[in-house]
Amino acid sequence: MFGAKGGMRFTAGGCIAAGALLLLCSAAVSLRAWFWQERHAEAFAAADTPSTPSLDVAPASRAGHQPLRGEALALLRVPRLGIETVVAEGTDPRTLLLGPGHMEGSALPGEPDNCIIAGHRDGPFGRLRSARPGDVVEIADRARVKRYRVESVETVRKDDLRPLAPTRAPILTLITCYPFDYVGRAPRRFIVRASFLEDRT
Amino acid sequence: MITCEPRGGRGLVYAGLLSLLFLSVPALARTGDYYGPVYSSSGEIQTAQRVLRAENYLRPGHYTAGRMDQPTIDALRAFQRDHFVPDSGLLDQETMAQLMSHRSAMQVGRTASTGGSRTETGPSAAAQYRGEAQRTARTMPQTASPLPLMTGLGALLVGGGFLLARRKRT
Repeated sequence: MFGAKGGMRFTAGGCIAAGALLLLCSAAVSLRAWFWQERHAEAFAAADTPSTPSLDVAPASRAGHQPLRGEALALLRVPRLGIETVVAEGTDPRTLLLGPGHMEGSALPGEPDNCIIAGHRDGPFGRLRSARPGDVVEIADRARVKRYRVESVETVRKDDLRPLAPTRAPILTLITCYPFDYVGRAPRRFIVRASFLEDRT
Repeated sequence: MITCEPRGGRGLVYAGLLSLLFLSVPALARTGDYYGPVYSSSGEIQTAQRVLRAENYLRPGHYTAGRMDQPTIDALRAFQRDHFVPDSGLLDQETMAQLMSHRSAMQVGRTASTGGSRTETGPSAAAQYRGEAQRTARTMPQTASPLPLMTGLGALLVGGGFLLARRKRT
């Protein structure tokens, strides 16, 4: 057994080591997300320029292609709020570490159903706090740009599943945690609903 | 200041061993053939029966849908033996997982066996199952990022550690 002095040193060393490990882990996670975002934003930006139609994208991959979990799905932009982020497929914790995720099983952007995209509030979706009706949300595919207009902004309890229900009209639902400054698992969800405006190539 | 006399030290060791024993009890209790909770609702049993029938473990018309009757238990035992799950005849989590991985056979089985589905509720049960799956599929995503917590805790630990180390030196 070590004395009080040794114990103190041991505790201090352990604290520093554990803390450094945690910091390193979080740095690694954010770096990975950053690299992932950069890589895929480039791919979508290349297809986004209207002057050069992207011929390299096969038509088969545009329609009827079901994206896999963890794949980059589209580029989401809210010009007024300065949000520009790549949306991944899937809303499991691992995917959400990369960026906002499109809920598996919900409609793809532009389809006549509820398209659900969720994101961490400390990522780009944190800026949604200043969203208001009338804002334009753009979702750029590899080939097309879908534009939505924000209709309502609300918060619900996290066990309230109404915002996730399927709809007849093409709707976009953006979800993030509600108390934006909350530490840990927030009890509410911030819901931004947008209706479909137009589909541009 | 704690001074460790031999007797006190031994007492501490005994206390540690004793607490270790208490702590290990739940872990020991979990060993043995525990394969998760048993599924017991009528819908779950029907789902299992449909897979068993599609896989030819259960003959149509010889069982009651939604009930754990003897033919169903026997079929379940046979299925478990073939899939290296302990043949308890119970619809536990492990067995259910194995059954679910055979669910694609269900469509084939349903089209193949048109007659003799006297006790089977047929498409309505399938629709019910699909609806259930869809309902459970949509849950509110956890949008709380672990990053701030991790960073905060890390910084706190490092800071506290350095503070402790410095206090010790002076």
